[in-house]
Amino acid sequence: MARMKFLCDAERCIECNGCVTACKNENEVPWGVNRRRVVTINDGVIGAEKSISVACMHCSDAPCMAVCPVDCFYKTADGVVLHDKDLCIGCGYCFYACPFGAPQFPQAGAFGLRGKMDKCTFCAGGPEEDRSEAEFKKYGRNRLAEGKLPACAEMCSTKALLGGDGDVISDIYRERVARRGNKGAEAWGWGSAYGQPPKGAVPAAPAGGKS
Amino acid sequence: MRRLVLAAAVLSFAGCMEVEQASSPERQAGQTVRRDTAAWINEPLANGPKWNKGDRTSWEEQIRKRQLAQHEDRRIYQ
Amino acid sequence: MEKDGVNLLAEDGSHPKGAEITTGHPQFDHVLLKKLGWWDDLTEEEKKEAEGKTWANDLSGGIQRVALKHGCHPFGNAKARAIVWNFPDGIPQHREPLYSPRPDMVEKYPTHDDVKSMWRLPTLFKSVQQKAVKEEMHKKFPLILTSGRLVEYEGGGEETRSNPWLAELQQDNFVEINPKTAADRSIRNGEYVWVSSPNGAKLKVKAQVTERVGPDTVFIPFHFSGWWQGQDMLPYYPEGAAPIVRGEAVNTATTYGYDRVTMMQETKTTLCQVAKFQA
Repeated sequence: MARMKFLCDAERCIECNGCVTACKNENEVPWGVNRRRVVTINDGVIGAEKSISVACMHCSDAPCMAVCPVDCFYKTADGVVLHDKDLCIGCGYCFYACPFGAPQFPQAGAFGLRGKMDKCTFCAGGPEEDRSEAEFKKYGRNRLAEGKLPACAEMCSTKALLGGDGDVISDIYRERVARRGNKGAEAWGWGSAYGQPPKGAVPAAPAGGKS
Repeated sequence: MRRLVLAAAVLSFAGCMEVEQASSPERQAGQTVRRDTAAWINEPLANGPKWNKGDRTSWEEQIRKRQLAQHEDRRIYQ
Repeated sequence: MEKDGVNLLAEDGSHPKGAEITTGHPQFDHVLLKKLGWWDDLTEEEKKEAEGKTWANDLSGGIQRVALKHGCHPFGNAKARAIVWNFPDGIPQHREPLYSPRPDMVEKYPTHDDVKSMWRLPTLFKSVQQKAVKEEMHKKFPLILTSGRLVEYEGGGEETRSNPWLAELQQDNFVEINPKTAADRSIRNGEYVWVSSPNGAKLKVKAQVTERVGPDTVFIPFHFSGWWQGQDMLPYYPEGAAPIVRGEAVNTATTYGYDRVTMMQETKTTLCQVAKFQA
């Protein structure tokens, strides 16, 4: 089995924030902590607006793990990057290192008071005992220990956000790209985001995908 | 003469301030926290997905199957 | 296939792309299939089922299948598919809203006459529209105000604005303004503005300067309430009952107007003026 990964298909993301709400709900994330965020560029510009859902990418060579002064990060057998809040000193160095801004700090105050770092756990909880009350309070729901996948990916309304085994994600995405037709302008846009329609049907939008 | 002795003493003590670098390979990141257990060693929930407790392969199998629900292109274009 | 002497079927050349029939035709039934010679395209079982039926009640689905195979719509190719004989407008006509930015369009496409009793209530149309034109409302309130939904909230917003996860995603009521419109009024993105409308309302909302609206239109979502003319009404809520996020209610600014048939309120089109916020 390959490592666990996320992939957000920017062609399909509609910025509904369903993933954000699902994560908040499932893990009871407090106000101000954004484990997952949707970023939109070119807002309002027809044809150029794109949205993408970003959270911890569970990097193979995680910068947060590399720079942590107390070495509180660890990687599970599936490649999920987790950390131990009991060891965390809230220095914020992982936040500097992360290219995605995944580490979140629940407190803001004078003198750099940050509290324990919190981030997306791929719904895999933390080092506490699986599915225990302590684990839920500190890290949120452990869905992997229930045999499920992260709430955000399972909730995505357009199946833009894919989450799970990296091999399966690659297969799904490869099929999507093939269905969209790799010929230049057809590869992008709403006209082909859900694949080319069956032969003979009227296409959803003019070729080029501009809606 | 006294100055020379003093200079020699200072120079020899200067070496004591430096900390010896460990000659063993550098510590790997991510090795401190060891107490987390794998997901598949848990008992499946009564009303949730099912796998064989302790069996990694069966857990991975059912996760992979579950993941195909995200592949809705297959559902639309039969 | 005609009413009052006017042909209701589509004219030659108006047809679905790839259709084999390039002129108007009525809905597909067994008679039409036989006339066209397509009856034999049906399988034996389908023929049994389709005899005497139309596309709508042929349970085998054969009539639909054959029609689609030849690239035609099973329901026919005609002009207006619904002429509602008992509505004031048989097919939808354009009528200018009661508060319109264009008096010339009001001249050309006037609204309905006043109704003495629409479901036992007197309902005004033309008199309101004429009064607005006479008082030159379009000069005092040159922008079209429309209201609509947000993803995060639902309806009046009391329940969803009390949900911390949704409230965090939309924390202020706002007005979407075109960059040109905003520049004309020295409004910058994120600043508070006053939105005023012909019924005397004043809304204090944040400005979102965006290309999403044209230079003649502004948009305000309708899910907010709890502010009145710039003042947060939090002290008036019972203890612990206030939603997390409060804002101006856009329907204090939307004006009188009702649909001629359904009585649906005219909240999606009215006039307003936007000005930089001065305390």
